[in-house]
Amino acid sequence: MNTFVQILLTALMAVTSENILFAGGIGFSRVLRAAHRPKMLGMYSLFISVFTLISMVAAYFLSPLLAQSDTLTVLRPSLLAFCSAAAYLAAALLLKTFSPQFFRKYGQILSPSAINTVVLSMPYVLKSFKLTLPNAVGFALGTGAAFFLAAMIFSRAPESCENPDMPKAFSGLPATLIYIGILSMAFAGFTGGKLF
Amino acid sequence: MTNRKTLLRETGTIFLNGAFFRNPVLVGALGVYPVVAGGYNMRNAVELSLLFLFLTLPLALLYCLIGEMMAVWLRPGLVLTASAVLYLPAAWLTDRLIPGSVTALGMFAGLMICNSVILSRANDYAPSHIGWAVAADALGCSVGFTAVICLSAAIRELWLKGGLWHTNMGVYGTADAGVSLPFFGFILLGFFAAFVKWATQKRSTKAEKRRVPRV
Repeated sequence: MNTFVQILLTALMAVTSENILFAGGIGFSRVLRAAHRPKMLGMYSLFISVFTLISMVAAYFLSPLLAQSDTLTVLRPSLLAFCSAAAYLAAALLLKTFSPQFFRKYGQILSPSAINTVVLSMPYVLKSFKLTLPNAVGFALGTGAAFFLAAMIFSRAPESCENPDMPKAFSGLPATLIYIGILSMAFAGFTGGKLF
Repeated sequence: MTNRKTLLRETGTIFLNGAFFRNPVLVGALGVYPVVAGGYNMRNAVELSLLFLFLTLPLALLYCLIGEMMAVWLRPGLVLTASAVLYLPAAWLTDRLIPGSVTALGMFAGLMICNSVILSRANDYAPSHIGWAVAADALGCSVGFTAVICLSAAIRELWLKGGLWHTNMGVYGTADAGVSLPFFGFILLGFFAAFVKWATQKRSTKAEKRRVPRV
């Protein structure tokens, strides 16, 4: 019960006060692309949650091994990226072999949701926040939920960010970036400044 | 001779598109993270720009050679693997040019491995284009990325510290307050993106006028 509460609280923290998307500025190229596919948003976010969880758990078990020598410390970013690449290749191979129909439908969002800064930032989050295993699991799941909420917000953004009343040069992406900036400012208020 | 001229002109156009008119950060919203989170002082901006160049050029050229040989579903995983391998010499080279830079950058350097500009150029653009075009695109994107991150970092560091490259205060701008936080980076990017959009619109209007002869 205690572990479950820990997971829930850390997940809540990942969505609100330690939101790596808004407060950390991580993964917005993926959020905006996910927002362009509102019908696939749920599956996109589910994939993100699964891959962030894999990345976090892999980092949890690999980090003590990588800290054993100076050479491994230097190689750390590359080795963690290999893990993400391996996770994507394994998932794609499994889905392609055992569920080709599912892969045909969702294969196009599998690689962007497996290979991105949100997933690869998990080992750094683990190190910075010194998370225990339940906390790490909660944070990874919470980040998936945060991704879903952010993409939901920006799937509705085009209506306001392409308003004909605003100067033509600001319509579309420039307005969206300023919109992200304003929301990010609110989250900076939660974190109280620097996240990492 | 004409072929060579055409090739040069087209290479120039590709370079210019990557650097300005189709800047991957300002038009494609790719690779935003290092600009908004890492580019809060000029030193970081220059280091990240060097890392970007040393990573994107060899990776794009490699996938120009071998990209078409592999299945499309395999490519993203293998591009990330190659990026992770090429990160090591790129980080070493950056560290040689600016000693201590990679350690100081920390996660900003490590996350360049999966920078969406670098991966998208190697995964989507490089396999279907010739070497010249790929090299021009990679260099153009590097110039574009450098321009955006350096301009943003200069404004932020000047605002925060009143000087560039720790000349004023003796310390580099840190990411713990005000304009050095990611939100200000996003707002600046919004204004830069609006400028590029305005310039592109002006250019298309001019081209349109040139195409339609006056009666």
